[in-house]
Amino acid sequence: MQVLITGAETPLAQLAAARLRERFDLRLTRSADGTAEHTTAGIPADLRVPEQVEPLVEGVEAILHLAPYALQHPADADAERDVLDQAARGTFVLLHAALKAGVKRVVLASRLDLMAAYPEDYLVDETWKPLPDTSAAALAPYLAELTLREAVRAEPILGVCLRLGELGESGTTASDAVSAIERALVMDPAEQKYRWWLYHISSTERFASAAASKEPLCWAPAEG
Amino acid sequence: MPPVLEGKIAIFGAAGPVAVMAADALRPHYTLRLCDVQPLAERTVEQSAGAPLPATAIPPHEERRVDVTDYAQVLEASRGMDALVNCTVVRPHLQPAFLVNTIGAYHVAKAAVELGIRRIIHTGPQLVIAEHQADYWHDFDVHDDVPERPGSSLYGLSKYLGSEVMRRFAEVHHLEVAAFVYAHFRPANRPSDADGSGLYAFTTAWEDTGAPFLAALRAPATAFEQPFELFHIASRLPHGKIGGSDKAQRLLGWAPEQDFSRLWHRSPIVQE
Repeated sequence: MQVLITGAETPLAQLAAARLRERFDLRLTRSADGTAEHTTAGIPADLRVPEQVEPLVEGVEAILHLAPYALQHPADADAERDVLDQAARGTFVLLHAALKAGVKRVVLASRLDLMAAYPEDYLVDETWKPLPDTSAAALAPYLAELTLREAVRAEPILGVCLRLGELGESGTTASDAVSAIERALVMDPAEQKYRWWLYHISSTERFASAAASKEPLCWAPAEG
Repeated sequence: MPPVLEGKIAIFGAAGPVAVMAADALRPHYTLRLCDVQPLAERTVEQSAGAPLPATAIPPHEERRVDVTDYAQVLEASRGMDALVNCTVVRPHLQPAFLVNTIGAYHVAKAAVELGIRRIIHTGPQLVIAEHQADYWHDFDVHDDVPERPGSSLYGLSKYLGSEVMRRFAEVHHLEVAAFVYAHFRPANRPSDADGSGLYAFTTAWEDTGAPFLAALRAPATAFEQPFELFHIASRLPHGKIGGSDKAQRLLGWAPEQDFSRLWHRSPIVQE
């Protein structure tokens, strides 16, 4: 299976690529804005530009849209606009290119930060409403989620959203994140007709998952 | 917060026809700052047949060139205002659609918070009928508060994201946001419309478009049962598909006046 990974310059994408390389035929794309190291593998592309995205998805069966997971810290209003635009328009353009190319599924990496406003003693799983704060950094992954969720209601493509904590022992370990990503690539919804699947992927008890351990994802954190 | 009974109102996207009707309704009661990226005088082509065109601002009202995609401009245009009205929209063009419809809403909401402005009127398309399998087209009594279903279209999705951004700002910062959404517009009694020619199930007369803005500014805080209240703004419709502005009547005290009845009654049979 040929898989496109976005955000190749980010640690999450690099972890995923290292783990998935033997099992899948990977194509990586990285930011074209100059922030990525020149040594980073991947084709530089602005995901907001259809002419740059369409060649990336040719022949691809699944997309790992990992770029929105990267936490941004915009320094000014122009940077805020760019962060929001990357998340919203970038996901929109990527999705439409995917539809045009016949891609079967998009796996989006989002952030458990969307649920951080709930008190720690609440058992917050995927059935709870996201409560992002109003910073561009917090809204960006939320906009990516909404874009994919609403589009897959209307279009014949599978959308799997994995909300991850900060990479590490206090959030989602690298191993757990990558194993969930791998499961999301191959999970089979079979007769279940939903095209949108949302999962909390946490290595701690801070955020619960009502769904991840069940069919079709069947994922559980590694025992530590 | 108390209702906004007087003071200064900035309208973003003031050259558009909804904003024109809003300005007409608000002008006798408030001092308006009409903001648009293009001079109002340059908007000389109707958006659709019978759609209103803007008039230039006469003091004490003022016109200001504002690009809603530029936060500094939005912030400056909002300074000194008592409420903000966001009528900005771009429909068919990829880059400006997201910059205006999504990020423009972010800028307006952020400026309101930064300046302590609590009441905003936001506008957009209805997103309950969007021509895909998960919308509400086959349903009836579709209430204003059902979750929107924008589908995958550029216009619908980019406006939906702007609406959700506005909703979060309202929830987090305790704003009072009235979001007005529409589908089809037409003049209430256009001579060229034949009797019995039928009426789309979500239609708003231009003549019914302005008054809700005045009602939303003058509504008491109790009208905002939720920080972000979305209203299907339509004329009095007989179909039973959408609410016919029942929620606006209940919370804002505004009821539409137009009903297009000659369009949805059969034309009289002429005896030979």
